[in-house]
Amino acid sequence: MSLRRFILNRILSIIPILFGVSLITFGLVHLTPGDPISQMVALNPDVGPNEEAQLRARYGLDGPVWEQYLTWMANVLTGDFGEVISTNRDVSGIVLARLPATIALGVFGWAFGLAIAIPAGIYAAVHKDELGDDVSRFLALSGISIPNFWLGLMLILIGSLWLGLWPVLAPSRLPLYHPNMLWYLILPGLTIGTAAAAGIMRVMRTSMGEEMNKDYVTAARAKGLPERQVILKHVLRNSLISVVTLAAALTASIVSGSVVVEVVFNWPGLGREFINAINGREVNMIMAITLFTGVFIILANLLADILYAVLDPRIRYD
Amino acid sequence: MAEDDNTPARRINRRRLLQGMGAAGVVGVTGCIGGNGDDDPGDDAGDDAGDDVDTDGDDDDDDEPADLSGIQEGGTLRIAEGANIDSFDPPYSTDTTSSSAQFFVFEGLVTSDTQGNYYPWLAESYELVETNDIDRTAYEEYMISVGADEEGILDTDAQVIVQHPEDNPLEDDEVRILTTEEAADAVADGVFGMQYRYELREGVEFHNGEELTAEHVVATAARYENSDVSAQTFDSVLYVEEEDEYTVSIYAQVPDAEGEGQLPGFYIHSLEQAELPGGEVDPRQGNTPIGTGPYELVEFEDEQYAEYEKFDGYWLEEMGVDSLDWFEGGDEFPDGPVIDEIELEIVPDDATRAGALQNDEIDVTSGLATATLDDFDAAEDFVVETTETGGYTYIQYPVNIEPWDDERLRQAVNHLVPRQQIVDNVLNGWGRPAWTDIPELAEESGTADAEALEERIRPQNEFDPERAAELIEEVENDGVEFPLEVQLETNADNDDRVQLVELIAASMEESGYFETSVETYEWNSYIARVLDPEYPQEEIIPCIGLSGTFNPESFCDALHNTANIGQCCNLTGISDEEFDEMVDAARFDVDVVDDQELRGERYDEIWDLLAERRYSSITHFGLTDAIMHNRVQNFSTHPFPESMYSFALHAPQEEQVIWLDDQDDEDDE
Repeated sequence: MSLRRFILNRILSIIPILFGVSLITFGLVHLTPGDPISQMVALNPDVGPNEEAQLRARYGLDGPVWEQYLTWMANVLTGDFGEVISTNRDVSGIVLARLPATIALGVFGWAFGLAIAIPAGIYAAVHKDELGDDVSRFLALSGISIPNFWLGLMLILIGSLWLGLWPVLAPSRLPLYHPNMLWYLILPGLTIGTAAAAGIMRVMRTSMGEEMNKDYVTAARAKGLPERQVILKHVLRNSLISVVTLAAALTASIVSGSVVVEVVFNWPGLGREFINAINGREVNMIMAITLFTGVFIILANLLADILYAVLDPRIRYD
Repeated sequence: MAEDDNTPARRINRRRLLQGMGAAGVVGVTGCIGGNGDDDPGDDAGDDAGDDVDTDGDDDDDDEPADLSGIQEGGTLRIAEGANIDSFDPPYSTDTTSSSAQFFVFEGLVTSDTQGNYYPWLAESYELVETNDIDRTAYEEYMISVGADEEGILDTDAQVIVQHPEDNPLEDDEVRILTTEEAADAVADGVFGMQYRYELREGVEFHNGEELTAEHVVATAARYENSDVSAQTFDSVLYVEEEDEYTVSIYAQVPDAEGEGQLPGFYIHSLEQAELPGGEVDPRQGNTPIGTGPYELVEFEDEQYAEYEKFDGYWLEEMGVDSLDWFEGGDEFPDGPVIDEIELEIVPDDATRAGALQNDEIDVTSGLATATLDDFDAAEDFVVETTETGGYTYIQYPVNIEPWDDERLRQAVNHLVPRQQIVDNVLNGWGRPAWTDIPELAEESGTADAEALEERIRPQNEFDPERAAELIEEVENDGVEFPLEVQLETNADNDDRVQLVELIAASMEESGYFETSVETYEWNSYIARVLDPEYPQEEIIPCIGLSGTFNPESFCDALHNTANIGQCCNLTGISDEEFDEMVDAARFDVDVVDDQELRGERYDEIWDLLAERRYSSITHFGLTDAIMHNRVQNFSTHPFPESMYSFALHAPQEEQVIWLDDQDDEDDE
């Protein structure tokens, strides 16, 4: 199968996946008690059941769930993701406005994670069972164990309040592409990238360790190649295959992790919107963010598959 | 309405429909997205019990007028709010943060002080012209019939002003209603409860250059029809009529002792925006809000910040505070706010807001955890200002389930509610035990004698296990077996409230007469649960928070009126005809409209009845708090969080004005 056809097939497979995701998410949202109307008026003593029913009818929340789903789906197919019921804001507009900030944070965190994890993994593999290896494994375990919100708050405490190097609040007047944003992104990026780095580092270390015991490495060393060249040219490339797989899988956790990080660092991304939407039972917003996130994760996995083949020509697109 | 929270303020914004003085009849349930209701800021129970809390909103002696000689003009006040500004459109938003953001821009015909006294504002003067002793059946001959479907939805797009008291949309195919059109006919025939006449100030300019006239008031009232706040607006308002260019009359449906505050509860719109569809007075819809207020919105980024600048043509600065007939302040009191700009940052996370305040990135915020309040209160560079609010928390007994239908059992449990301990240990002292059922802000019209009321009621609300045991033994002698199993429950996302319920449960357990369990639910699940029609048949004691107003009714009616079963906030199905009649007579009666003392006496009878029948136990009243850098001078808090900043910036009714004392530093920067 050609690469082009493989990509096309994978893209086409997104459709049933997203359909399934939308169906499950829509069902789950409606299974949970409450809706935007109950949020808005159910606890207002001046609003009785009659007024509440009228409001629910006005916003199309009074029909059976399947009917609401079909209506929602019909609108989505025409590019209309609906409104945030409690505020009349256009969902598509909000998602498109927030998405760049979340992607920037996610990419930064992801890059940060890789930048830490790969060198650390290489070092740990090369210096296996030495003090440096123990330290790196301890740090990796810590990275996995420490909750994002706690780490974020600690970084604010140290970086902003003690050292005064970063502002506590994201510089909201600066556009995302402003160079100063790179500086601000360090703390949230570090927070979001730490857990990812920890996981990747452990896989990198294991993978490198396995590769270094293989015959071709022994042969390379026997030929008199410098150790640095053996590691970076031969072992690293083969070790990266499993890392790429994991890195793609970690995209999902980076996206979900950004929800907490965005709140802690006051970062105006989709994560904050998602929390508000869940609290407010804003089904249109929940659905839109879920679908966008789903597409993002699927594309990340597709990219991983392509990279897989680039790194290992033996892999075929089947 | 629910506090949110927001939160929110964790007043439910979601979850939160308190509209300040403009909706003085509204109560709000405090739920709280993300945490605490405004009634009980904070998450952490502390060990340091009972620090004295200044609840007068001012560290200084209130009898001493503020020293305004040091006022500095200019600067930017940087505020952090805990929730997004969901809307800039007053009739189409109900959350605290949105209202707070709107109050810089919009104004009403009247304003109020922190005690609930009303003063003419955009109206130069107003008077109660006429009161008629009628009830809502008086409109019968003007009513039209409309169909009602099986869900009780009426077949009309018009604003229902009055629905015939004898008709039930859920049971009847046709319902008699009065809409605005028929209300005009009734008024023309002299059928109305009350008439207030407002003489508008001449020369009041909107931000777009329009001059305020009666037409603006009428157009604004029309915009409130079928809006998100129409229910609380048109439970009292009958009709708004333009008499001449600068005179407008607002009619009430029935005699209403709250009419002075309730009827003019509109935030006046410009004609340019009065006919915009609901929710579209909003920069996100391409419409920067236009009002008569001292500040104009100049920039807004959704979920991030809003920026305001002083309006050059602000009417009060043009006319001077001396143009306010009732103003009795000194010459040094400024004609308008002295701070030039307001930056309102949206920072949902409490810890991040606290960090930003500490890092000097904002000047003032509110709604932080109680432990954090203690830290800031102790810090040299920061000031914590608080005042008692209308927020309160209560538990309600399952009165329809034996043996809870016995008031002696309910009185006994009430004696096991450790109110002082709740305030000391759960709220770290940031609150006040509810020794009676009304807070200070509602005392003026809610009792004839607040001291006598407390003296009479407090012994019945004191923690007294011995008295509880006596009462339970009486119940036991009548054949009830103890220990009784009972479940207490509340929303899980409010740590203070969870701890409060656990404390009450532990106290009940300790008595030996009860076996308790505590259940907590996510906020939305909890709302759905407690509003379920079957809920009153469960042997459960729910705990929830509400926001009351200056109106004493807001501390009893929502909880106990039969009409509120199945909705906010008569959760356990209390039905007491005597109470219903009494609470009606304390507000909607021609005799109490002009006689505050009589009204207070009627409320005293209500408090006595509730203390005896003890359907609910209010545990404490909360505080509105503001935590600020000490460069912010002369800040006084307002009982209602949504009015806090607009009031603090400039309020001639209490000679309140804030300024920043480091302008030179800022200029240097």
